[in-house]
Amino acid sequence: MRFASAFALFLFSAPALAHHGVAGVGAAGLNGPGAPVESGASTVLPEGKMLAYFKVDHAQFKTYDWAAPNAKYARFTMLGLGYGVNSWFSAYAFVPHHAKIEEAGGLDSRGVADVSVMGQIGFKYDRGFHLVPQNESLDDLEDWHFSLLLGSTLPTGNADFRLADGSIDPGKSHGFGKPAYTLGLTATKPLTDKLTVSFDSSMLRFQQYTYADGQQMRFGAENRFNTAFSYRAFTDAEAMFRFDPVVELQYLNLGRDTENGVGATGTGGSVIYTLLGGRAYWRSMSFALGYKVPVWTKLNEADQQQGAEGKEKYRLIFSASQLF
Amino acid sequence: MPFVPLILILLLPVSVYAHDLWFEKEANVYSLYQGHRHSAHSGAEIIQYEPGAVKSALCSDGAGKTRTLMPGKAYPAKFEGACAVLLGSFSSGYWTKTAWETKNVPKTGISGVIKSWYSEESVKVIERWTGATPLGSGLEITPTTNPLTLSVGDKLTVLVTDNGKPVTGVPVAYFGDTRGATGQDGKVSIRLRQPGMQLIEASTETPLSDGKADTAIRTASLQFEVAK
Repeated sequence: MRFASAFALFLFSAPALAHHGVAGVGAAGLNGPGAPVESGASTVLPEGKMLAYFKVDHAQFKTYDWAAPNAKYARFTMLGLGYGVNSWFSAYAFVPHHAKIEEAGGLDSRGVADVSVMGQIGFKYDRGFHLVPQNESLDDLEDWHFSLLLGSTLPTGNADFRLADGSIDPGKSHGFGKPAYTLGLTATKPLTDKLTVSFDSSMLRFQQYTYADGQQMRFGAENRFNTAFSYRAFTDAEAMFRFDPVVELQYLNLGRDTENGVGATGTGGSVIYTLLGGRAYWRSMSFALGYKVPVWTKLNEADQQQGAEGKEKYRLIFSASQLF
Repeated sequence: MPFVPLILILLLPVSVYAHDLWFEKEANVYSLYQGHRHSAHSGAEIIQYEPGAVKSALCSDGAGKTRTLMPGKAYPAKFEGACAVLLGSFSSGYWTKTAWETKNVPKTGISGVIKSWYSEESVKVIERWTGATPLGSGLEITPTTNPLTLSVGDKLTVLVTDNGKPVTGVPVAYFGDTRGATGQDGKVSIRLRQPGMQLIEASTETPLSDGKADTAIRTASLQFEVAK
């Protein structure tokens, strides 16, 4: 099920990281900590503020003669809305859309997928652990900040989506059929006045679902550990503009899918990606662009995983967010 | 809310911290200076002021007694006393800005006024810890813990009050570098970054209705020393 993992990645990693824009927007103003392009940071939304979020993740796959018709690309688009319930808790909801496109003769899939919701609890270490207070100075923002992320998909998408030939491919379905759950932890620390490091670990767990054609599928567990460095390279206080180059190292471990109770071949494995990109902040908006490639892979039955994570030529990630 | 103060930081006018006030002590005599000797922004090290701008000072002996000290008429203003805390007040009066110049007068009768303000400043030096209680009645910065025991790298939470009441949203700077704004409780934390003399400043700008100026710009400074 070569698309399954990518689908899951889309649903969870991006929502979990949707607060990226905030650090730029505000948080830090022109002098505070930076934020990654794709990995998670620990910034929570300011109390009573809303965040509108948009993200596109385009994955272009390597193609092989043996895999024809190959998966050409997958494009995951997401709209999200966040709200700062108080100074330490933010709530998010996301609506994803995906497009999974194959070469001529293949079976494409496009559609709105499962809505996801997420809660984020922000805390920090300052002579002990505390929930993020209402007011922090730039000096407070230099402390270690953390956040705990809890999320779930809601089975709003059509899990039994049928492809053009009438078949159901769980990897191309528009939903998981049942909620999938995520748990994440982030840590962020400005190492210097300009350099910020962020760590982000998360796990994603699926439930077994029986599709309309009788097949049963449980996607493999996903575990991630990401590290990101952002550097405040350029600021223009008058224009309220800032630009940070960003480097990320992302580790992804995918469990083997279980198909009708049996481990599925050509699924699961581990990948390390590097991402080079940048994040720009302008007033209450933030824009991020990243170019991501797998630099190390250890995939189960790798020669059967065309179109899966680790088999990308590259991924391009763009996001925009506005706090209001 | 972190967002709002940080936006304030961005918008903070540089002119608010156009210069610093600080005391220098010799024996039991405190001399008041104005300038940029300790400031993060550029300018003359010492700026001479009119001695009449210095109003008075409150001297707390740390044993519950506070007395008012009056300066001499010479520059620099000097206050003599064995003070645990000394709070000096200073006002250069009304200022009016036109397209051509900025004059140290009220706006009354002047044409082409772009902006006018009344300037009031204070500086508080802490020699011994007497507690987290404001000393005066104007804009004032008070440490919430004993700052004299801190080291470089430590954070100090300060309380900004006006008439003894906490003030929200006041930008606070460390040696002229704005680091945050006070929260709803009037508090903000500032990290001490260098040894020796410390200078923390807060400033407000509020509308005036006396007909002589549009606003009152008030600045309070807190001065103390850390050993390392």
